[in-house]
Amino acid sequence: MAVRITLDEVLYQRRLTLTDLADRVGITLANLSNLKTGKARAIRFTTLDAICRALDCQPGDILAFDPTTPQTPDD
Amino acid sequence: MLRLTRVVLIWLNRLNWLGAALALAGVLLLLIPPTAVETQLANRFPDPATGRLAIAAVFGIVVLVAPCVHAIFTRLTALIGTAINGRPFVPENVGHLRTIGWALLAIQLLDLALGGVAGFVDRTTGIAFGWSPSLTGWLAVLLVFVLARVFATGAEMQDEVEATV
Repeated sequence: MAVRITLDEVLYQRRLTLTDLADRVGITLANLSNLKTGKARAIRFTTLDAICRALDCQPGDILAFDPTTPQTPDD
Repeated sequence: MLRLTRVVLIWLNRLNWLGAALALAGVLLLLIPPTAVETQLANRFPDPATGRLAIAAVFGIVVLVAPCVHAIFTRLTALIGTAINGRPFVPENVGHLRTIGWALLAIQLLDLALGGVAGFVDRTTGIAFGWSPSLTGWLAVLLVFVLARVFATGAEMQDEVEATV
């Protein structure tokens, strides 16, 4: 998938761990880990809202689109 | 209720195979011509040999139905297991339902064969076998294949939901 999650960079800037973020947004660590590693295929707006509020960032800060990545049949 | 149903299906399957074993014994008994059986059949059939073959054919159909019934009961038991676990919309259940559909179709075709035997007995002996075609059975075949398609879509949706954060 060409959409990448750049959560690691924002977490590093805020000096937070994934566990800290999971506690703040009320999402399981497993689900956040799936999101960070690109295993998730979709994200709810409510989840995006919670993450952006917790990290004080914009959706574009944690999402990136890489057009050079080939499209897979599941996309 | 699901757990009780699963237990009932397991026991019904055991009865299914017991019935098949008895029917197979009946086929063997009828195809090896003991005098006692022919004497009994002579009272009912003008031609005891033909009567013996007709009854053996009926028992033979019962034996052939048994694996189809086994397929239905075992796949249904597996499907109920996933429902008990709270995740029925999985790709395996699509396969189970299709297998049940094919088994039901086989049973319907064997029922037609039974109708053929019934007609033969009726024509040659005048004995009414009491067979009639089962529209419900044919509709059940269609229903199960449609249900398999529904479960396929459900499995895709379940997969999407689980991959959504």
